[in-house]
Parts: sequence; C-alpha cells; structure tokens
Amino acid sequence: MNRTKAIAWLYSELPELIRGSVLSEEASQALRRYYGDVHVRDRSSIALIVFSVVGATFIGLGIILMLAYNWEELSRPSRTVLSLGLLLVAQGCAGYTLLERRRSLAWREGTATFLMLSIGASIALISQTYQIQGDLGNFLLVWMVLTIPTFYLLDAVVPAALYMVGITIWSGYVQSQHGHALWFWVLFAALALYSIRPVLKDSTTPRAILMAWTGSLGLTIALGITLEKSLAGSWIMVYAAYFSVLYLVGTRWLTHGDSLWLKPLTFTGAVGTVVLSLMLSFEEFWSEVGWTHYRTQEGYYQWVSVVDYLLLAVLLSIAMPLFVAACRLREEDRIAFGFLPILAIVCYGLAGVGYPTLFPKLLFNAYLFGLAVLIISRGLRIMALRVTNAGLLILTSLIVARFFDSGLGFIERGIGFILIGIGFLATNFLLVRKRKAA
Amino acid sequence: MNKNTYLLLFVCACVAQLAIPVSMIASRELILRQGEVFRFRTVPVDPYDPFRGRYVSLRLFPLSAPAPIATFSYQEKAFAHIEVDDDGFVQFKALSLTPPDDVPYLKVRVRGVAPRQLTGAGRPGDVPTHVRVTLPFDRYYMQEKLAPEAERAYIDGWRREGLSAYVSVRIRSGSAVIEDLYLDGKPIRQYLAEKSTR
Repeated sequence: MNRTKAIAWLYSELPELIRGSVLSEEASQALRRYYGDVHVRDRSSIALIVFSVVGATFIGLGIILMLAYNWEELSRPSRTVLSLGLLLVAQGCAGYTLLERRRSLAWREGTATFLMLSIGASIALISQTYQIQGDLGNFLLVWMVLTIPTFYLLDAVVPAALYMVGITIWSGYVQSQHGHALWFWVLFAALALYSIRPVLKDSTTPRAILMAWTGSLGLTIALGITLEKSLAGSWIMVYAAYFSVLYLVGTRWLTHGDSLWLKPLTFTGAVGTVVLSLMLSFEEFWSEVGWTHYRTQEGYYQWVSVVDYLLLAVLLSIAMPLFVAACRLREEDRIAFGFLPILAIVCYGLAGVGYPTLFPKLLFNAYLFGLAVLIISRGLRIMALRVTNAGLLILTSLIVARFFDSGLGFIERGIGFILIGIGFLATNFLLVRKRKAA
Repeated sequence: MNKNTYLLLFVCACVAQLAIPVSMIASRELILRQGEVFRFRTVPVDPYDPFRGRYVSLRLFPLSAPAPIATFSYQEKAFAHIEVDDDGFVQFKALSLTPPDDVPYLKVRVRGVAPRQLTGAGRPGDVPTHVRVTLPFDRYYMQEKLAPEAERAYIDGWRREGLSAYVSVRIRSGSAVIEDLYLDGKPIRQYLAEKSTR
C-alpha cells in the first residue's frame, strides 16, 4: 500500500478509534496536522473516463463498419454525404460537450477521441470515394494537424497521446521515403505546449502521468527516426543527453509516489541509460563514428542536420546545470546518470580522432559496472529489494553481453551463468533476512 | 478563456476540419463533371493500405514521354502532352515544364531517362530520347473482398484469354480522377458479377 493510501486509510479509521476511546480528539487532530491533507484518486472516475473513451472509439468503429457493409451499393453522392456526416456528428458531440459538459472529464475525453477518429475516417472515406491517390505521409500529416485544436479546446489527453503516435508514424514514413522529418519538431512543439499544463498543475494525476509517459516514450522512438545523422554517430551523444535529462528532471521535480507508474521520466531515463550504455559497450557501435565519416549521400539533408546539433545543445544545456547541482549535493545516483552525456562526448571524441574502438568500449563497460555496483549498494543500504535487483540485473546484463562477445566456450559460460544465478539468489536471501531482522 | 471564446475557436477549428474534405470533394467533382475522358492501359496487382482500405495497384502505361532529357531533373514537376493512339489509349507525345495551350495534358513527375521507350530495346550506349515519368495515380480503391478477386480475375484472364485492362480517367487542367477500372472492356464490378454467375 503506498503512503498516500496508507494515510487515507488511517484518517478513515480515526472516527472509530475516537469512539472506542483508543485515541482522543486532540490526538486525532495532531495526527491530521502532522500528515496533512491527502488526495486519493477516485478510481471510479478514472474507470468512467476509460470507458467513455473506449465507448466512443467502438461507436466510431461500429458506424464505419456499418457504412462499409453497404458501401459498394451506395452512389457517390451518398458516400460523400455519409463521410461528411460522420465528421459533422462528431463535431456536434464535441460542441455539445463544450457547451453543456465542459466540466466532465469523461465527456471531454470521449468526444475528443471520437472527433479525432472521425477526422481521419472522413478523409479516408472521401479519398476512397473519389479515388484520391496521395500517400500515407500526406494523409497522416493532414489528420494530425487537424487534430491539434481538438485536444487543446476540449483539454483531452487521449487524443493528444494518439497524436504523438500519429506524428511518430508520420516521421517514420517520411524518412523511409528518403525525405526528412523536420516538421516533426514543429508538430511535437504543439503537443509539448499542451502537455506542460497538466504536468505543472498536478504531476500525479492520471492525465499528467499519461502525457509524461507518452512524451518520454514517444520521443525515445521519434529521436531515432528524426535525427538526420549526417554526422556519423551523433545519435550517441543526443540519446545520452536525452536520457540524462529525463532522469535528472524526473528525480528533481516528478518525485511523487513510490510506484514506477508515477515516475515516467525517471523510469525511461534510467532504463534508456542502461540500454544505451549496454549497446555502446560493444565495439561494433564505435566503428565508423566521428566527423571523418560525415555523410553526404542522397537521402541525407545537410541543412536538416542542424536540428541534430541544436537538439544536442538544448539537451546539454538542461542536463549540465542539473548534473553540477547533483555534484554539489553529492546525490550519487543523479551524478551517475548525469555523467552519461559527458562520457558519451569523450568517447565520441576519442573515436573521432582515431583512437581504437576498444577505448570507448572499455569506458562504457566500466561505467555500466560502476552504475550497477552503485545501485546494488544503494539497494542494500535502504533495504529495497527492487533497487538491489535492478542493480543485479544491470550487472548480469553486462556479464552476459561480455560472454557473448568474448569467445568463451559453453562450459565457461555455463559456470558463469550458474555463478550469476547463485549471486542473485544469495543477495535476495541475505536482504530479506536483513529486513526481517530490522 | 470564457465560454464564448472557446466556442468561437471551436467553430473555427470545425470549419478548418471540414474545409479539407470539402475541398477534396469540390475539386474532384469538378474534374468528374467537366473533365475529358482518357483511357490508360494497366496491369493490376494487389497490395494493402491499412489506413485507406484495399486497393488494386495499377502499373500504368505510358511510362515515358519523348523529350530533351537535359531539360529535366529528378522529381521535377512536368506536363505530359496527351494524344490518343489508334486503339483509343493515351500516349504521351511530349513533355514540358509549362502547361501547353493547344492539347490536353497531365501533371506528372520526372523519374529518369530511358534509352528508347521502355520496350526493352535500349542498349548500353544508346542516346536517351525519352524521359520516364510517374503518373499522379497508381491505385484503384475497391471493397476489401473485391480487390484480390479483381487481381485473380485479371491474371487468370490474361493467361488464358489474353484479357486486357485499362482505367478510364477524367482529366481537367492537368488534374486527374480515375472513373473506373475495366477488364475485358467491362467495368470491374460488372465483370466480377458476371463471372460469379457463370
């Protein structure tokens, strides 16, 4: 049970305890003053929102399927009227919500989602009716741009989350067609400006959490797609800075609650750091990296690459002050995760000037090992099994990765895996025993 | 923001959201009502667009137009001058960077240069005389079940009976809308309906 719920439970028990003369009224008030106000989310309202969105989606899909059943028999004017009619109905529902139900989150989320899906369906149906060619990229771009007013005006996060998915798919499609996805950042800015509001207002609400998850995970994917990568290996530094920013910002400002669900930035930053470091602990990722391998072939737009450098500059300008602050406060974990971009830039520099790829590999192996030891020792210190196991998992991943590229035989690997397993079990056993004794 | 401001912004958003599909409809209706009809030979295949339904992918002819190749660059917009051959199908007699005044034309994109027309006669060393173009239409949308049936019908008919296929297209001021796909001289739906009753 998390802390908020525990306190809420205690408050609910106080009247009974006073009636039973277990606690006095003064003691009860003292307890309330000590723990302060708590806000436990009403799960029924969350369920209502989820069901309204699911319901709106199914209604939209059901209407489309019913139209599709007799579609071939309908004349072109009939199809046109139905296609536009679907959109008008969705707009009508959204308008009604704005007029009469603006305070209802369920209405806003449901009608906004219905409207967003109707926009796409309407354009698709008309394209099919009039044999309009075009391509998937143009269709997605128009659909997403027309969705922007929907989540702003109805203040709905579900269409905003779907919008992030849509613009990410759009950027992937455009890049796959040898274009560039520079407009992704303009489209993302439209989402970011909307998302900041719920997160700043109350970062523990489901809406804010959903936007934080959507943004952090979506950007993790979108960065890889949209980076132009004319400067070979520049993605290493950008991703390192990005995950560092996520972790440092998450552990500085979005620290409420114990559950991982409530810490999207911290979780994405931490996992991203480990995965990236694991990848970079392989020599293969450091081959042909650096300014001597600058790409000018067809498909690489030099002027779009400026965005890569701007992104790196912005991310570093956020990460570095937070890293310095963490150093001053001697916050070990934040120092460790904040160090990643510095390490990435140093290693990139080494690879760029022609040092053997063994150097960056060794440095990242050392970094990962240090990170694992730090997390394990922290877990043992605060007697948190989850933290200790996370550190052990990182260490295990590192050892397994080295097993696979070290050329060891089956017997050696088998012994190694057995020892790792024993290490896992022994650490968990000792920790549980220690907690019971405490 | 007060309620009236929200409503005003919402109305503006609705107008923008309607403007796109309405403009799509208006421009295509104009072409379908006032455009001239042309026939393009085609060879159908069957891929799938998950967002916009099943369609028959069209490999259309002609694929190139005679033109001085040095004038054009890759992906450049151009205007293909249309003439109709003895069989009633479209051929491109020229390509220009500006729309012609005296003949019907189609907006295309430049794809590359071909030694001769794409008849397989080109050999290394031949001087390119034609510019390859990409037509603005390459698919015919159909109901889910009909598209693969159309492909099967064409391939079977082509192998056994030498069946031909073409699309009828309305063209107006260089813009085109496909009217119908024909197999063996009949609209595809009619052909499939007759085939299923045989």
